Amino acid sequence: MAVAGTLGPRLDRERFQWSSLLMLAPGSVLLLVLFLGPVLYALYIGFTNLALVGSRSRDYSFTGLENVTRMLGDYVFIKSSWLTILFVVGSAIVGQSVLGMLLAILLRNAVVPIRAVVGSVVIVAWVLPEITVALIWYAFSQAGGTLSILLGHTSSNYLVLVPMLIVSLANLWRNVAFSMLVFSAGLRNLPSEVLEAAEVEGASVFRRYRLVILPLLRPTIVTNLLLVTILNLSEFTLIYAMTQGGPGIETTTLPIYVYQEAFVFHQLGYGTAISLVLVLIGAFFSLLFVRASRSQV
Amino acid sequence: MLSEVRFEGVHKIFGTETAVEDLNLTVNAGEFLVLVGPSGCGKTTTLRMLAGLERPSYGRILIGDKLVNNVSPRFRDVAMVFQSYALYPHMNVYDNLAFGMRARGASNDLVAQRVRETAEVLGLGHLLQRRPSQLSGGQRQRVALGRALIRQPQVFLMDEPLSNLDAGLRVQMRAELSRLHQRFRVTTVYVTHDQVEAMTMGDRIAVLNAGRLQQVDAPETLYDNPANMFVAGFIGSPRMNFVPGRLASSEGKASVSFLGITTPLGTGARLTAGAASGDVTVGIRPEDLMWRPAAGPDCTLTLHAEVDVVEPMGHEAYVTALCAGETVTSRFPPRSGVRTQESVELALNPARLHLFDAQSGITILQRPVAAAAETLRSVGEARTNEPAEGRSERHRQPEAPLAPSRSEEIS
Repeated sequence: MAVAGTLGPRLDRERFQWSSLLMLAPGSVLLLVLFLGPVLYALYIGFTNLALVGSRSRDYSFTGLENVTRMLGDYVFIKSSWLTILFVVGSAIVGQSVLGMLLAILLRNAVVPIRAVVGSVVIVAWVLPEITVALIWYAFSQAGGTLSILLGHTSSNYLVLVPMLIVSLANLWRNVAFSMLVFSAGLRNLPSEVLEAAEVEGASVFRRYRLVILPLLRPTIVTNLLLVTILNLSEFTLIYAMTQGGPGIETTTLPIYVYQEAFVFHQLGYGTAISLVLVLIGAFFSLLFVRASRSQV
Repeated sequence: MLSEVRFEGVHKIFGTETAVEDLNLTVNAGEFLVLVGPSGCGKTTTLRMLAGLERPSYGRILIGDKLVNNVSPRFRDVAMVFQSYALYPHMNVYDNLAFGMRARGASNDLVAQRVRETAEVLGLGHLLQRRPSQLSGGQRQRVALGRALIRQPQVFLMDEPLSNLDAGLRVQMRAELSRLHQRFRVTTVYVTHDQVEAMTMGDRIAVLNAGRLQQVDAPETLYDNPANMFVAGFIGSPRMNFVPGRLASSEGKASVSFLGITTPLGTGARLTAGAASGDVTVGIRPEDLMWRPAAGPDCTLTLHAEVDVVEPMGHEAYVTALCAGETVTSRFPPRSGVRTQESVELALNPARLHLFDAQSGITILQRPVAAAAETLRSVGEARTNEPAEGRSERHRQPEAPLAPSRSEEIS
């Protein structure tokens, strides 16, 4: 531009000062030492034969793709991966999100006392320590427990009969409050005039939800799915407290398998390699959701 | 197609707040009625009750001959334009326009045809694929209007649709809305706090204050014969001057004293039945209080005043002056050369005076205008809204006349 030369350097340029590096240094060092370092080290350990005890705990070495080939032939690992995906998709993505959305919608239209009571009950389940929830559901699903009485088979232990279903339900029961809260906040923030416009225009309730409310909630839905997936992928306490991964390996999800390999069988290297697969699964779902959120805005 | 709208004894109470009180109002079929009043006067609540977004606490609302109190907004066949436009942000203009028709199960061909026609009328043809976020304020406004027009509803409801537009665009859209109404003649209820919009667009104007209907009349009638001091002060800019005065009558001749002068009341004007000698409030519109050198022969009264503030507006100047201890505003020609502190002579036509009861603020002087009969009814209606009169008993009148006021039946 013609004026640029005559007016001197622009005053609104982005500025950089070397001295700011000094100010950034402490934070960078902390990040390097406490975050990036361990992550890279774990990545390395995943490709070694490091053990927790014994000679390999000192004289371990890089083994290339040995852990990977071992995984591919490891029946427990493959079953465990499927169980993890089943758990995340069934309990978290479908169960928790759908039920959370339904609760949020129902409570939005409920009278105040019902909203207060139901909302509190759902949140109390969330606030309970995981170990308490595990105990409640353990007792609930045992032979002679409430579930067996309700279903009329008092001698059936449902934690043995359908273990994955029971732990998934327990997890759903505990975590549904999270999704409910996220969706309630999302629904509250929708522009009321837009919803009223749809109502005056003659759209049925179903149509309003399908064509207006849910599309407007899209960012909230994606955020919820992302958080719920990441939180549930690493779920350990509840499952381990209820079943220790059993009966057999029927509830051995990846976090439990990692624990068993690393701390029960002392195979730190292999355990770390499995946990890296867990990270990959998480990254895959996250990518999926982020792409879904970008395709339409 | 054309439907009238009736409010019969409608109240709306939120908690302990009464938003609308005993509203009796008929919007004639095909009429453009403007609901006007200050913020919080209940005009938007009235509109929302008509749309079905609020339920009246008491009373009846009828569209056509159908009682709609418990009819959901979906089934009222009304279209509403919101202040914020309330477009669907995730849909393009085409889908925004088509939404209502699709919701009512119209075929794709019909939808496409009507979207095309509506877009044509509103000049939106080249914008059909855009999202609302890609439109200017005026274009969004047009889409919101189109969304209402396309459905060809029985009644249009508009909630301050122009308030988010800049001044120039507002004038343009005002004319456009009037044109659309001339063309389609759909019964329209238009809410605004802007008296200019009310005066320029309304077939009739309903003035609300504090939840009560003050007066319903044609714009000119409302201006020339305001039912009370609120309406007189609300309609007109600058505001009407109110000064204290005294009314005296002897042998059928009435005279009024104010600002140090006394004048007999002009011929033609007559006092209402309730008028009595004593304290009154005299109302003078700024344009009726003229600079003597610019005044016509009708302005027989002369007032002496000292100029306080001069506000030049270009085509005219507002002069605030002190006259007999009262501050009055008058309209001067643009280049009068009058300065602050200067003494001026103001001229006044006695036939242009307004008189109000000093206590109640209700008008006590009827001025001769063409629509005087209608005004009388409206004045009566505004009066029935005064708390002193018994309103507890609500009449049900199956066949209401088309006239705005139903005071005869109520009181």
